[in-house]
Amino acid sequence: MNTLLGKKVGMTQIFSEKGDCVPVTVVAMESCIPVLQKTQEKDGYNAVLVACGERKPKRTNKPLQGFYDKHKLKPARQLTEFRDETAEEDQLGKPLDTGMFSAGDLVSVVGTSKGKGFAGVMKRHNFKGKNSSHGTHESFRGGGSIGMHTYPGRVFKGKKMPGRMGGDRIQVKNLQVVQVDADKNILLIKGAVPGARGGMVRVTQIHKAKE
Amino acid sequence: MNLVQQIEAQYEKEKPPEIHVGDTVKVHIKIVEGEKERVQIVEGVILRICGGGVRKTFTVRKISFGVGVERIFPLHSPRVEKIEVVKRAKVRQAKLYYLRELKGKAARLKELKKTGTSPSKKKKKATKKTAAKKAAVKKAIANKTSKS
Repeated sequence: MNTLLGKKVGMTQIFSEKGDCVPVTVVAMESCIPVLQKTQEKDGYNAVLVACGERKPKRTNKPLQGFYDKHKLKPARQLTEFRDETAEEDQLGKPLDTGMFSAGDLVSVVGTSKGKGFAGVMKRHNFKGKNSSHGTHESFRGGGSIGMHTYPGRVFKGKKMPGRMGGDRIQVKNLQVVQVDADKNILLIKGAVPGARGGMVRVTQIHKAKE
Repeated sequence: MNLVQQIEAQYEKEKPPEIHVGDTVKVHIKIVEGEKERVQIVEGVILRICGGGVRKTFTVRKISFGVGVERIFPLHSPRVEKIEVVKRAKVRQAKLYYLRELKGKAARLKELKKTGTSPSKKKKKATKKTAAKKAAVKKAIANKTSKS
């Protein structure tokens, strides 16, 4: 296993040994329990089913409660599969910890970005907008023309226009693990991580630090 | 304390130097050049103090060769070795940005005089008095209990 689910706690900064200031995101690993191993023969693909976090029993419906009872688990915030991962037999049913990570590792982090609502083209696609003077009127943040005339007589697919922004699954690769706190089950990851505070993030090790 | 504060607390200095806006300070900074290490001193007026926790920074302004120079230091950085307070000044603003427009004599600040009752001394006296009172009360209670 080299993947963990955690909760983004917030950002701060720490000082390295040299005295450099390092911006870090604090990710607290919640109880993350591998439940089932899915296999190529039985299920058609390899994956580990993981239960992460806590959920009130009141908010758990009966079929789901039945599943948790069967596997002797408390209701979890999230049930997710980690594709192409393998869990050892003795890892099932026990919470994972941050032991798999060490300082200097490179990780990829997946989270759900903050929702921005219906956003214009300047915010959504980094369009330049228009001049605030030199005769511009009523159109300062518009996107301009969206196509030609009779030929082709339509707007091309994929034209960048205003619309819903944010709330997407975002993956950031090659972030460095700065510090691992095994007691508190905390990871400090250099730089920013997608999502709002309190959101779930998936941390996968992609490169192990050289000893 | 939440998790972020707990982590910040690990990197904060145990006894952060007591500085205020308007103080004239000497900041001792460690500078590493190749393998050599030396200490550089920046002397100037503290223009502002920003942020909290480990993220606290302060800005020092000095006039060097007729040009105003401002440097921002993280208070808890291990590179900031020592901060000496040379002068304290009476200041009415939290940020002294107005000093940027002033030159020479006009840019002086009114010095706080050390004589008289400084607030820290007053506090000490007060604590002594209260301590004496507390002791007296304790004695009285002890007497009462022994009598009964």
